[in-house]
Amino acid sequence: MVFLLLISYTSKAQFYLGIEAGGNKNYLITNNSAQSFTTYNSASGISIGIPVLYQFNEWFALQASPSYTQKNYQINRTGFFQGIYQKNTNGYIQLPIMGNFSFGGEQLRGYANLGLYGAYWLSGNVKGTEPNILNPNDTAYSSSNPSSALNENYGYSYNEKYTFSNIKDNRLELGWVAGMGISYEVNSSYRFFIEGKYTGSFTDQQKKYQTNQVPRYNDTFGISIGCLFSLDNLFGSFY
Amino acid sequence: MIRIPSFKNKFLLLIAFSLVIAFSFSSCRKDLTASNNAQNYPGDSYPDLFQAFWSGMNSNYVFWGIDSTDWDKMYTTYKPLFDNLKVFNNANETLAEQYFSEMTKGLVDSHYNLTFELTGNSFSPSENRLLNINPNYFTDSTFPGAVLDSLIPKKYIDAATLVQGVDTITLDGSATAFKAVSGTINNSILYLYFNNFAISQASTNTQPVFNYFFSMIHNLPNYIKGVVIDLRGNGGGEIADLDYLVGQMITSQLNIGYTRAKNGIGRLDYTPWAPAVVKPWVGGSVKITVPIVALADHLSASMAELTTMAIKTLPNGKFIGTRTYGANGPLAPSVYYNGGQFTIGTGAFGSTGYLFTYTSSTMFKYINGEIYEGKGVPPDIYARETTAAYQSGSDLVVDAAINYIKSH
Repeated sequence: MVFLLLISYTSKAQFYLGIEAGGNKNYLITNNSAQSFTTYNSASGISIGIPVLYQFNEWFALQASPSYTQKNYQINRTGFFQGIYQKNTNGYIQLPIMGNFSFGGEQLRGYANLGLYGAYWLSGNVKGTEPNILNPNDTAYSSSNPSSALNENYGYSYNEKYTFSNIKDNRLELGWVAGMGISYEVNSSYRFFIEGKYTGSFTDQQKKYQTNQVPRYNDTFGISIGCLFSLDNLFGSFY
Repeated sequence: MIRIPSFKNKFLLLIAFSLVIAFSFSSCRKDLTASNNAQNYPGDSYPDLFQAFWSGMNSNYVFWGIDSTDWDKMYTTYKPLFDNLKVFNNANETLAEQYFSEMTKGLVDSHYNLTFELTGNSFSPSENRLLNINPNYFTDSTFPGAVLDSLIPKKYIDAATLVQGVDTITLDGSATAFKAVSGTINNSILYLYFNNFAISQASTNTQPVFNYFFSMIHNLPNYIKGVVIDLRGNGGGEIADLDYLVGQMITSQLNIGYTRAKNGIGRLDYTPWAPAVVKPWVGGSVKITVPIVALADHLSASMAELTTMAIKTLPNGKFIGTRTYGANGPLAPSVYYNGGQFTIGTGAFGSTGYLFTYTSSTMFKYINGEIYEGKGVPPDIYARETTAAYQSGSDLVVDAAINYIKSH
């Protein structure tokens, strides 16, 4: 019934195609209390997408936004281990399917999105510094005790492509998406928008490969701007 | 007829719908139960000690990527057995120690050792494995010591050059005899033996040995045609000695392999491979161009193996002897790499806890891509002392080194 209400058809149905880009902040939700002097921190990323929107009526549309979205995070050591870190840059190809609910005036309208997404973990990069146990600082003990782990052993700094593990890494991610935004219709053919979006995975970033596994979930908060083009008005009605 | 809801109703509908969806989706996530640090379990019962040990191994053991032990199967097999151990008594302690040993007997880490603090018993999977293959594996170890005491200083080393000594040092908290021998062989080979990598602890009796050796290295006479470093029976020790020993014989950095550690609590969470290097010693070094031979055997372990591999990597280096012990993953306190050694049961049994697990913090991969953990490093030239040779006054391994150097 709700769905029927939402898609109640009017003669205003229009098809939009657009482009959007923005930044995000991703949080890896897990529990690492067993690791000493170690924190998981959010990291910034980018998102580029091609929104496709089918406007059923003045207040409801279905929207799909295939995108490349980064879901990054950083592991930091603290205290004596300050300076040891790893930034994980993870690129996903993501396809959200959302209901788009809009309200407001003719030109300036607010809207909210709600839906589900599927994503594929396309690429990964790790950048960081680790203490290199077989590269000791031969002078660290000469006058005083080392001041940090990286003073005791030289750090090894790396920036390399992440090698996926067929056993560990779950590259398929499913989740839900919610967002709010404002759109401004320049004319009947163009519409600019700015929106904030949350995506939360409900699949573990790891395959179930061990007993008592602690899951890892991506929570991503993004903001993007974009433009939608009415294909009907630009190229004539499809109907 | 379908009615279009008013704006207010639409908005309320959207909010309600969103809340239902949000609640539904958030419940799709699994519980983020804390993965407790092994040391934080109370350890006041055998089932709790089992959980602490299993979890500690699951997150701290660095070799899961190459180890064939099915750790999940150990959980399902041994959890019910530990659950049956209701109270602490001698009979249950015997069973518990047996279970912990059975769980770990197939582990590839050859540093690995369990110390049961209540009884003082210990279990080493590598010793167990090697004795199953060869019951005489460790009794063969009489050769390095005997050969050194009665053959090398007396028969092989030129008497006028012999420098040797014994000091008492502390290794892993225990007083240990530290022996060192140096001199020349046939007035053409510079020889060094020491039984542990603890050169920083060399004292009155052994420091002159190292002083002699390094003095010769820094001013190598023309008549010295090769250098032999005898690491047979050497169980390893301090990592800093790698630069101190090999680093004094090179003038540019040497890459000998790679190490990696854990960087997460998951069994397969690893750091990238970091290059393992030997650097020219900060106190001075020279480039030794004559052959450098490492002698090592089935009891050469840990730093002795890393040093052997470092020498083997040199363009003028060679490893003569037998396959080494196979314990070459470097160790550090667990807090450094969030992995490696750990103690369980400190809550119930005090600071020494119930069980201490000694295990590597990092995995080592040789420059050729091979991981020799649990396998041992193969020699370039095989040579092994025999009883017959020893009784006739020959050290076949030193003989092989002499012949090799003569031929180069």
